[in-house]
Amino acid sequence: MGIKDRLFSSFLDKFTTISLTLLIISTAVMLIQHEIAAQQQEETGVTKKELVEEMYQKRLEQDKKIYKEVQRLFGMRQYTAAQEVLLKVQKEHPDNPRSFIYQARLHYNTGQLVKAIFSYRQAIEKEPDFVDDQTPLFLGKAIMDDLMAAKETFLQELKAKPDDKEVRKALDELLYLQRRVAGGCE
Amino acid sequence: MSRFKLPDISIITGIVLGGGAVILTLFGNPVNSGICISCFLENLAGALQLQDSLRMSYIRPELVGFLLGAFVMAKQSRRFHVTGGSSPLIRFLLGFFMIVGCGVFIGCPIKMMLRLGAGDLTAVAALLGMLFGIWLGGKYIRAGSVLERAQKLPTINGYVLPGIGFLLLLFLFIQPSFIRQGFSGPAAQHAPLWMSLTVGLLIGGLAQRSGLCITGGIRNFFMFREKTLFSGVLALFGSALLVSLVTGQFHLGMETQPGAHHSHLWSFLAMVLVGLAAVIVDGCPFRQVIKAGQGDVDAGITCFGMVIGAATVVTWQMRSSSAGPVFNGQIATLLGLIFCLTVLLSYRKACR
Repeated sequence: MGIKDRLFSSFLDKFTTISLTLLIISTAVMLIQHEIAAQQQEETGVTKKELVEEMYQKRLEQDKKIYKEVQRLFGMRQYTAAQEVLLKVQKEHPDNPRSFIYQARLHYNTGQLVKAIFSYRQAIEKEPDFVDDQTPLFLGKAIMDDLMAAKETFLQELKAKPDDKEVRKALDELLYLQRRVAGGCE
Repeated sequence: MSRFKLPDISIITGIVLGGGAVILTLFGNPVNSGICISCFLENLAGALQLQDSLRMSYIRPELVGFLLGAFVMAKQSRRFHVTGGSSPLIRFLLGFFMIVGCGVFIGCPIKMMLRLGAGDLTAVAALLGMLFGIWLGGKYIRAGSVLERAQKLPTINGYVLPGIGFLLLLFLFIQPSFIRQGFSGPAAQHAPLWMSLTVGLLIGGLAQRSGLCITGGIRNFFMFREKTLFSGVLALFGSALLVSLVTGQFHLGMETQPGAHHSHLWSFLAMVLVGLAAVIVDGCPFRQVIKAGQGDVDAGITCFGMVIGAATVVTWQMRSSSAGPVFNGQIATLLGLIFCLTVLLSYRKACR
């Protein structure tokens, strides 16, 4: 049986073929219209990419404003004062994940390495973009530097006290953080 | 005059697959994970809004390429045979559990080889698990536990999956509003579209011709000492290792490995599940996609199971992270093993 016979041999076949053709044409026309409308909207308005960039820019500016004082005190190595201001900021902005980064850095700079590691973990759990080098929030290199230095200290401490559970747990956390910063699938 | 002889097609496929995957990571795909069927399916499920993690939502062109490459090659070489009807629900669930196993380990058998090729020693436990699963599956096959033979089906059945492939390709280009694409996380880590698609099509075509399958190659070697597909698996590992070494992506060790965890027992068990399920459905997740492209409706059903599995592992939080496996994933792995063994046992009784 040829294609022509198969498509038009009876009334039912003719009906099916014509209906299918009409349905395909209607769907295609609707899709094309939708696509043209979406493109026109995109041309007149902002693109998805621009929206995302704008969102990150806003966040960076907001963070800069919120943590301005903490950053200043941190730069002057006034860690106690910086900690006090950070606590205030944390109360005012409990959902802002960057405070965990500052907290980790404060712990790190005051020699509280175990606490620093846990704060880094909290920061990354709350905001995975901190270790995503595709986003402007990426802080992976700075975090990795701290982790590498802390790892040396933990290994030395474990040599001296092999049964220290706290340090062992912190080392596990640190290794996890290193794998996160290394990238790959989450 | 001696003639230059090309290596076997399965070796060529292995080389292109392993090397191509590592090269894709250089151009943006996640490190140690240039090609991973389970990750790609999780991304696809996100793009289709079957799971809600925006960071894992992207239609991976490689996946579409595998399917369509296999379809075009099968049509071209007159190997497009439409068959099906063999235990569809069991295949669906085995596809589901294969992806659960992959999610708990963090990667399909191809990614496991890529991770090993990049020096990730945490994947050794998974390799041992998969070898054990395949060996065990082989024992059951020898004992007669085999799903029934597929029947010849009307041709239209074979076009369904490639048709979906074409639709996904269309979505990739026109990006309709209902298709999601993440802007950070793994979704944002991808090579240029044209490159991913080309590599996918090439690998899909070659894999259709060669029949390359990670679990199938190892199974054939275990059961019949047949080395054709196995040499392709070795070539995959070899080329991934070589390209990783040349491009400076090789880091031997267990620490600082991307997308890995240190729960070796669960990596082992998860890949026992993948190996066992793959032997029952006759092919690893990658092979299922290729077979679906060449008209195998049973493989298509398994692919649907894999997509639903991919969506579920994310939504029900069954997949592991770098921190390690989670309770839900551990339970799902055990349930998967129970299911596989129950299927094997029931088919063994049926064959007696």
